[in-house]
Amino acid sequence: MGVMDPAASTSDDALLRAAAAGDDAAFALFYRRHLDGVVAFLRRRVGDPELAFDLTAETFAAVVLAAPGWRGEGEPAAWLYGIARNKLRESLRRGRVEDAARRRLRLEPVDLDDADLRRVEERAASGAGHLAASLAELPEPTRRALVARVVDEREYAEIAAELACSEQVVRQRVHRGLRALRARMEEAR
Amino acid sequence: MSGDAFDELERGLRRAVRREAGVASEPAAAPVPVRPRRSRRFTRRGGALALVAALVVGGGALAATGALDVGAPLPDEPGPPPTPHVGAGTAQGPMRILPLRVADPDGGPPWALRTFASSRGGSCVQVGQVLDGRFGRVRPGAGGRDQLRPISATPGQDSLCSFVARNGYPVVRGLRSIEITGGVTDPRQCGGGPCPVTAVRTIRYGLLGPAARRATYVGAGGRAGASQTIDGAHGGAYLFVLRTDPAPYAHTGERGSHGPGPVRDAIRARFADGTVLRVAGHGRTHAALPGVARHVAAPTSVRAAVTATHTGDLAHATWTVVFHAPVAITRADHGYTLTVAGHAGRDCSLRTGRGGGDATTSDIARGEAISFTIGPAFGGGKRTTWCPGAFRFRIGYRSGSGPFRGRLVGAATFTVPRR
Repeated sequence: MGVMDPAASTSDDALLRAAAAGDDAAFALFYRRHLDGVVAFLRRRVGDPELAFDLTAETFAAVVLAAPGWRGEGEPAAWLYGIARNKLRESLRRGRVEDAARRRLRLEPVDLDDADLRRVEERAASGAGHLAASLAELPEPTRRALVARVVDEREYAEIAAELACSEQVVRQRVHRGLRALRARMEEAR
Repeated sequence: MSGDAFDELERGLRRAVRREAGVASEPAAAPVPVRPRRSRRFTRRGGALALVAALVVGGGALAATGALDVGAPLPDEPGPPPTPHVGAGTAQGPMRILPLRVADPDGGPPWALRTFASSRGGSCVQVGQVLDGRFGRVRPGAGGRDQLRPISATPGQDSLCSFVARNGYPVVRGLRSIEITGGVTDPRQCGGGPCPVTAVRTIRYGLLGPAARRATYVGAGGRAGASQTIDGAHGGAYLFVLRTDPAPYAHTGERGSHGPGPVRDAIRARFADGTVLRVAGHGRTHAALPGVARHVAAPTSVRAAVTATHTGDLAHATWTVVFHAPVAITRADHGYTLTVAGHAGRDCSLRTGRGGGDATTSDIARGEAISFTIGPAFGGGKRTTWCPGAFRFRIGYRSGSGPFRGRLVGAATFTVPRR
C-alpha cells in the first residue's frame, strides 16, 4: 500500500514562506513532500525518464525563484503543478527541456546513470497518488472534471455520464480548472 | 556524501535557497559535497566482489590486456530471484548481441550492446564487452586476474527495459555509465590501500529506432566529437566508449567530492528524414523520434463491478476492495490501480488520498478476482481512524505510459459518520 510522507504537521504555505526567507530545510521538506508526485506528473507526459528528471529539476528550481512571490493565495500544491505544467508546455514548444530557472540559480546539471533512471521510474510509480492530491484543492466539481479529462485522459461523453451532466458542462469545468491552475503560475521569469 | 540524482538535486536547490535569500552557507557545507558516481564496474555487484576480494593479493595493473580469458559468470544481484510473471519478469527468447562493436580505448575486449525481451513485455538493452562470443564485463576472476565475466540477461539488472520497441529492438534514447579501473571500488588492494585509478571510460549508448542514420558525440562546450553511422536495421543502435581523464577520480575511484564535476556532453542524432535531434545528455530534446510513433492498443471496455467490504467499525475499518479483472494483464507497464478519494491527513483537511494507492505488479488472467486491502493510514501513514465523510475507492486500468489512475474500471463508496 502506498504511503505518503508523514511530515504533514507543517503546511506547504508555511514551508514556502520559510523557504523564501532562506530556510533551506523548509524547502527540503516541501521538495520531499511533492517530489514523487511531480515526477509522476511529468513522467506520464514525456517518454523518457531522463527528460522527466530534467523537467522535475527545472520545476523545483522555478519554485525556488518564485517562493519570495508566494502570497498564500490558492493552494501551494496546485501552484506547484501549475509550474510543472508550464515548464512542460514551454519545453514542448521549444523542443528542448527548459533550463532558464536552473541557469538563474547557477545549478549544475545533474548527470544521470542507469540506476538514477530506474529511480525516476520508481518515484513516478510511487508518486502517482500525489497528483490527485494537488488537483484536489480545486472545487470538487471542477476537480472531478479536470482529473477525468486531463489526468485520466477520458472522453468528455464518458465523464459527462459519470458526473450526470452535459458534455458542455464538463468542458466548462475543465476550462475553468485549467484557468485556475494557470492563474497560479507565479513563477519568476 | 552519497545518494541518488534526486538527492544531488536537493542539495543544489537548498544551496540556491540560501543564496537567493542572502543567507550564508552553513559552515559544514564547504566544500560543497557532490554525489559520488556509481561505477558500473564494481559497485553494482558489490556482494559478489566482496567475496572475490578475499582471494586477491595486491596488484596494481588492472587494465585489460590481450591475455584475458572468459571466467565464471558474475552472480546476480542479491534479492529474490526474478520470476516470469511478477515485476520486471525474466528474459524470454533469444538474446542478441548487436553487430555494432566499439574498440576499448584501453586495449580490452570490444564493447557491444545486447538486447533481449522480458517475459512481461519489456525490450531490454545492456552494454558489455565481447570475448570469444561471450558477453560480459572485465572483472577480477580466478586468482584475482582480470577476466571477461559473463553477465546474465535479467530485466532490471545491469540492463534497462523499455516498453517502446521497433522491429524487436528496444527504443532507448540514451544511457550513460562510467567504467573505472582501480580506485576504492576495486576490491583489490595495493600496498594495503586502494589501487590507483588507471583507466576511466565514459560510455554512452542507446537505440533510436529504424530511422536513425548517424550519431555524434558532442563534448563539453558543444564540440562535435566521434561520430558513427547507425544501422537502422539493428535497432538504430549507437555506442561510444571514450577514454576519460582519470585524475579527477584519483581520490575516490568514482565521482566524489574531488570528482570531475558536471558533465555537459550529449548525443546528437540524424534521421532518415533529415531531422537532427539532441537525443541524450546536456540540452536533450524530448521531441518524438522519427519513425517511433507510439501505438497503444486500448481495450474497448474495462468496466467491472467493484465491491468493498470491511471488518471492524467504520471508523477503524480495514476495507477489502474486490473486482474481477476485465482485461488480462501480461505486461509490466500495465496493471490495475486503486486510488482513494476522501478526507485524509493529520487534521482531515486533505481532500484526497495523497499517497494513498496501490497497484498490481504481476500477471493477471481475465476474470481473475483481484483484491486490494486498505486501512485508514492510506493518506497519511499514521492515521488509525478514517476521517469523517465520504470516501470513494476507484479501480483503474493502467496501460503503457498513461496515467497512474488509468481508465475507470469501477468504484465503490462509503461514508464515515461524524463521531
